Amino acid sequence: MSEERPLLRLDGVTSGYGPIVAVRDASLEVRSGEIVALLGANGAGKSTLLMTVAGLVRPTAGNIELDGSRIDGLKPEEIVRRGVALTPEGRGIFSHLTVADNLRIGAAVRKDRAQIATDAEEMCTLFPILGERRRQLAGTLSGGEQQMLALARSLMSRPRLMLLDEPSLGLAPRIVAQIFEMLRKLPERGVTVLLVEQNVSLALDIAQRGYVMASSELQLSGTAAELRSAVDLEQVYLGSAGDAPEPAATGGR
Amino acid sequence: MAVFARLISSRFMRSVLRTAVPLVVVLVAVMVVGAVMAPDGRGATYRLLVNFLITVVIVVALQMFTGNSGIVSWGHAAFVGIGAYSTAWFSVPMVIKEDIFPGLPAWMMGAEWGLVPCLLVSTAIGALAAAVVGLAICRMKETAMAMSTLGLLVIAHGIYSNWEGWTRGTEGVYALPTNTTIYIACGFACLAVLLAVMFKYSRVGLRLQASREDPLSAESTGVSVVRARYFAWVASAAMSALAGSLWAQFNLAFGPAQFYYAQVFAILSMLVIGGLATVSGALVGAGITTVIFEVLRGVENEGNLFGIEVPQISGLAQMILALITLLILIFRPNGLLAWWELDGWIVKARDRFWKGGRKLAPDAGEKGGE
Amino acid sequence: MSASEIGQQLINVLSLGSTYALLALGLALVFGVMGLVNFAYGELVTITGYTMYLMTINGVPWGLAVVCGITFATIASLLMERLAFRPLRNASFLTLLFASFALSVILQNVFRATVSPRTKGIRGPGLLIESLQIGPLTISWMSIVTIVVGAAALILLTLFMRGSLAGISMRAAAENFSVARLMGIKANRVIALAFVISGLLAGVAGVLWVSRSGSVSPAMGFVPILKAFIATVIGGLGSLPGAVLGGFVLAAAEIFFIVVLPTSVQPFSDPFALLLVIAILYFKPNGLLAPVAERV
Repeated sequence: MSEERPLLRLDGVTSGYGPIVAVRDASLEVRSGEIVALLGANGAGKSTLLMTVAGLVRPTAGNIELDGSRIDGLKPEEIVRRGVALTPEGRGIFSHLTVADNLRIGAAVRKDRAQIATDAEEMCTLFPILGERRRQLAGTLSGGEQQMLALARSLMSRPRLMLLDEPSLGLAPRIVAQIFEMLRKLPERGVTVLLVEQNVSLALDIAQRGYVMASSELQLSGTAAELRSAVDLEQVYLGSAGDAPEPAATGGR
Repeated sequence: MAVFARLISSRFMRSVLRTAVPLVVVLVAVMVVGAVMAPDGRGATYRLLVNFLITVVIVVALQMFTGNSGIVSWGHAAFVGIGAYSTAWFSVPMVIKEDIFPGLPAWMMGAEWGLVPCLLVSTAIGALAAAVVGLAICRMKETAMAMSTLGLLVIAHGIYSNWEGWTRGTEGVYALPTNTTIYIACGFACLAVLLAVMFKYSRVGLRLQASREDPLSAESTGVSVVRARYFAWVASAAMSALAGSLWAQFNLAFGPAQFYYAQVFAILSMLVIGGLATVSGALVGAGITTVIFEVLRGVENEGNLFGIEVPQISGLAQMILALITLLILIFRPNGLLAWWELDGWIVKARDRFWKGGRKLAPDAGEKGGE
Repeated sequence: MSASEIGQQLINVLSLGSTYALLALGLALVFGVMGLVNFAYGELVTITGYTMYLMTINGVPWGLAVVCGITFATIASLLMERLAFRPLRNASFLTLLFASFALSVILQNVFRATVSPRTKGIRGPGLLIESLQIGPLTISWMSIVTIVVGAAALILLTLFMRGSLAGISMRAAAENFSVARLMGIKANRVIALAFVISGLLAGVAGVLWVSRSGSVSPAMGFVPILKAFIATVIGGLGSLPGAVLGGFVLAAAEIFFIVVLPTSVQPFSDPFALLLVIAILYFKPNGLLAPVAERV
């Protein structure tokens, strides 16, 4: 349906862990400058899908293309060099390193020393709390601060595409609002976003489009507005989306 | 309720027997070969076969602990040593004992016991030692436990080498009576196999295996796993001490070096080669290792391989064994038998032989236990 | 015990402890990034020893032999990773431990077959045997050199681990290997680097070890790996400061028992120290400075 080439395209991707299939025959597209939400219940396979894109899990079937070139089968350290940054669930900050060192590691793929320092400064203005805690061990930060650090760390690699896994997990509403406000502005910085989120209304607030995943498969997709009105998302979260009447919105599949 | 219980227990026994019987057949076959070839109980082959049967007890004992819990133990050779030394204390003739064990108390000095009392007392002492040590180490994490059992080995070696009055230090012990015959060795090997298989299929054994597969669930069920571990630890140590007693009453002289690094490595290799997860693996590993050692010992000592002259190489047998172990770990990390007991492999082979036979369920041995 | 005796023993603790700390650090670094307790680590010490032995008996000056000993240990460490451990990436703790144990036995027998099964003497510079009198204290040059070298190595390693991107990457990988890869840290490179530094540390510790003992033998690696293993576990396996602390605690325990035990029980000082260590683990099952985060 799109005329221009999508930034990320998954075509019939199946992946999982050993004999367990966590993602089955998933096809989706994320276009440059979009925020796309990936919704679904716990254990639906959303995190595995993100990890497959990032290279942590190898797909057993299907293609993954970034800006037209295949990235499936590459190592995670190669995929991040092509401009894909995954902020993992549970944030995955390095708690034994200082905030500054976490940011420095985030830029591990880059060689432009001077620019890295400027970017780190910028992160500290974007998230002032990180500037204050620069010399502190990241493990001493609060949950919200850790999430900000994780986002800042991902941004340090100057990604084209950010994969975010549950950025609101376990955070106070005030902090979540703050973080989502920042996420909304990511496309302005030239960053495209694929967002996995349990909190549907939050996700659809900032996303233009979305996909719904249930029992390892992408069940439906549409614009944020379509998804909001057409689907009784409750059902999806109870894991019965497959039985739900097919909604009107099927764009992008 | 009672009927149900009986059903469970009979199923349990059925799967135990299905796994144990082929192994017992192998062991008895070894015994028959030995008895026929050397009816007088002498000669190198006889010695080899008896030592193999005793080795089976040692490896099966370690399998009971490491195979089920997934925790390495370097310490089991120390328990074999405890069995051997305790046997010496109670069986060496008094005249010699006064000379080599001056530290023994009077009542032990006079003891010149036979096979059975020696086995009993050795097993008891081994179990007691393991019970005390186990209190400390069974609640540790896997890594700390591995280190502590290594520490245990070093401590035991230090004691055997330095406790002059009771162990004669590095000079070693001699003059034990010959009580172990091929029949006795075979009997205990069969018993060890049966007990290990029963433990594997028992509730405690299954719980321990579950903790090995998934350390997270092991932590959530904390207390019961520590208890299961403790039970396996004491039982397998007692069995090791029993094997040590059998071994001492066959080999008659020994020193602290016999229960150290090289032995630990040999036992662990046997387990790795055959496969940690199964009792059959322990037996197969012991068999293969014994053969390798026997063939290569010729090369090492006489420069002779199947009658062909080859250069003498010091430590060759051990080096080849280590190489095989490493290759097995890389290319077949679960050992030769992996998850199947011997009976499973027999069924598999039979089905392959009768082509068109039904496709085999993954584990015939385990299936019976459900 | 007089103050000067206490001072004397403190110096012994410092000197023994810094050797143990270096050994433990090398073991802990590799464990951190790969989950492997490298049992063949002790053989790196042996390789250093044999390199020095073979070079010095052929008239190579001591200093050059030391440099070559450390270099060979480092190369051997890297080779171990490539040949034995790379095929076992992601294997379980138990498999890795067995594999390194097997590798250790292979190497011991290679030494036995190629050099000699017997213990060989090795002579260091005469200075190391002499002592220095400072007030009431008699301090051997060996102790001074050990303490200075140990301290220098610790400081350099700390600077590297905290200041350089490679060092920070290695610490990051030790905490969470997958996330480190997501940051673009190359798995092969960071593991190889850990083995290189581990080999360097084993080499430096090996020089100190061999200079102190004055001999080399095929199975001599067992004691260093044992001490390193104990030290890392007491300190909390995976924690680098823990490894250093563990090394000094172990040295203190050993020297304490040597000092307090009567002569008749003296041979049991090592078993006593080990029992003390096991007792520490009973109360702190995760070690003194257990790392907070779990490996993923």
